[in-house]
Amino acid sequence: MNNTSTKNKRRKIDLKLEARYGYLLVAPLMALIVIFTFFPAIYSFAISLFHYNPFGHQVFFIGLANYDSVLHSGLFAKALLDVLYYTVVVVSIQTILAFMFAILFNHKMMISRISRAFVFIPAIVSSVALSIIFIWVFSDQGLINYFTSFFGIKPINFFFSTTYAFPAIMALNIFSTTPYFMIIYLAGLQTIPRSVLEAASLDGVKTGWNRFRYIYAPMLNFTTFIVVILGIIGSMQLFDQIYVITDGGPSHATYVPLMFIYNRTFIYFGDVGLSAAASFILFFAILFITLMQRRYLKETRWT
Amino acid sequence: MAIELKKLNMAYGSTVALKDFDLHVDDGEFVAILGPSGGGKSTALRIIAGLVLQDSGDVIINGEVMNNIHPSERNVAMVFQNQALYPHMTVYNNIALNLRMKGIPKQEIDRKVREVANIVGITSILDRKPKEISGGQAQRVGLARAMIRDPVVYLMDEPLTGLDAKFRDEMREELIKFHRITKKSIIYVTHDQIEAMSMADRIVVLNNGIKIQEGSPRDLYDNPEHVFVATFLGSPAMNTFRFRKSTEDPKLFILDSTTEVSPFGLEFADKTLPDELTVGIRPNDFILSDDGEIKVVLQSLEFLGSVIQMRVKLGDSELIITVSRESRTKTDIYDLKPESPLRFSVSSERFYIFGPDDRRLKNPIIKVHPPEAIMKKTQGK
Repeated sequence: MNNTSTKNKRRKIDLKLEARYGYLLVAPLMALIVIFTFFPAIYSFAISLFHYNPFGHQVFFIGLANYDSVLHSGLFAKALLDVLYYTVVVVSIQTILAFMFAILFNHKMMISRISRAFVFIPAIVSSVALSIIFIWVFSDQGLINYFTSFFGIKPINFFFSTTYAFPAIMALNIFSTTPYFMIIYLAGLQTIPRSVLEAASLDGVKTGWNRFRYIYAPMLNFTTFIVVILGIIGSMQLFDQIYVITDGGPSHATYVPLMFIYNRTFIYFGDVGLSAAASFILFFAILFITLMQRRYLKETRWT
Repeated sequence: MAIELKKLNMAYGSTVALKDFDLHVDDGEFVAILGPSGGGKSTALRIIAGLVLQDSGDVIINGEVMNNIHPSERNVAMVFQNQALYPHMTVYNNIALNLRMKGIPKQEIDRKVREVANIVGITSILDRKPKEISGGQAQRVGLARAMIRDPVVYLMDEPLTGLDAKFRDEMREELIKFHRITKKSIIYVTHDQIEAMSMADRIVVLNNGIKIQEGSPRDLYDNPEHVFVATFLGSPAMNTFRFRKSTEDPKLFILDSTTEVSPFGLEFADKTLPDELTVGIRPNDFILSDDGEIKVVLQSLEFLGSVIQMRVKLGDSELIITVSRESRTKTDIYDLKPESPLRFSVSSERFYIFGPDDRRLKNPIIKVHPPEAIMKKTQGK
């Protein structure tokens, strides 16, 4: 009995030691996450309750007043509505395109492997570099105008037009994020057993539309929701391309929430408290949409 | 004739899946295609279904050449390994999809779905999804989904492979019943010889894409034309050993072994036989007898209920012998220790002799010689 108790003790010590090693190994990463994610998040929540101007050395508690003024500022509301509009357009188009590319390239043939690689290039280029390329693509002497000139269409300087600037940004982002979601769809397609497709073929599911309606769409709907959620989160946080290309202009045509937050912090007033409040409003907007999606998701998973 | 395959050839890159494969299946016949995995049997089935396009040869279903016809219009139905049910659809919709694709009116579909569901006994689970039903129920749904199409032939691709052993026996019974009810042809692909033997009217043995032999289960068991068939059918498998022509007597063959004296010898009427032969004996054809001609050394002994299975050493090779529990020797059979010598006799028509090309030779054996006789013969010279 004595023997077993010492054995147990030793095992306990071993476990403790193992756990200690475990903590030691995750510590660096945890430290980074705490320092660069959790701490700033909590800190920014705290300052969202303050009037905080680091340049004027004015700091005083004002409660929810920042939230109130952000919500009542017409510009932020406009920016939020614009980014929602952007999200609806971009997410729906890129999801459909990603699905179509995935179906198109889901073969073991060499040609589809090569095309897959080509289609994927935009996804790995840095967003700043891509934005700079697209400034040229959409300029009045750029690629798009070169093509449309064949049809007798007058050149348009897309990014200088209040009508076209935002759609041009949408096109750019659809171009660069679609391949990434195509990869997620390709992974989803791999999970459909070959025999199910064969059974469908024998059952007479042979037109593209029927295959989509009865097999691909329902069997990939979990993948679709992942793609949509990631798409929404990405779109709501649109910033780099706008910052590089239009800086929110012309005439606030491409002014999105992150642009508002950036400008309020670093350009105009230096009112960090107000910006922090705006960030949290955006955060809750994204959280709300994501949670709504998740609720729906539970019932659509088939595996 | 329900199905006819003419000179089918199929290769995946440099791997030959089927070579000049012919097959006839009569109306209402249950044909099993039996062979090891990678033998080409699944490919044959997929070519009939139209899921794979053959390199050359014809698929004829009900007298019509079907080479370029879409799988859904070939009038065949397939039951898959692991069923391949549509996971996102209810059982009802799984069965109904085919009729829906054909544009049949709703009431008609409903009537037919309930009819087949009733036959296979799944009426109570029509509203469930595949993940909510048991393996056996999924099996029946697979059958119902095939049945609703009223096909010329049912193609079954190892449908029982995913099930546990006890349940497989039950499902075999159900498939036999299913065949009796539908009265349709079935082509059943399997690597399990017991499934083929117990259900099929005719078995086609396929190895490396080549048809080795076909015939009724009994015919294949009793008259295997090839070593492959002989060893593939029957459980435990047939024992085979290599024999070589004795240097002293062209009619006498002895075990090709490093041991000094062959444990038994075979004397043939014909003296022009090839120098090397393969000799096969089924485990249950050995008869335990104190003056038997075949001398072996016991390795281990297992009591399996109705039979006793022995692992014995014959020269260098190990073989398996099953004897009935009533068999007797001088010592009680259960008191035998490993390494104790035993004698068996095998009646001369129970030997299967195969030539160097593994094809069966039908040369009668005159006499089975015990090792003592062989020793005398070789020393006498």
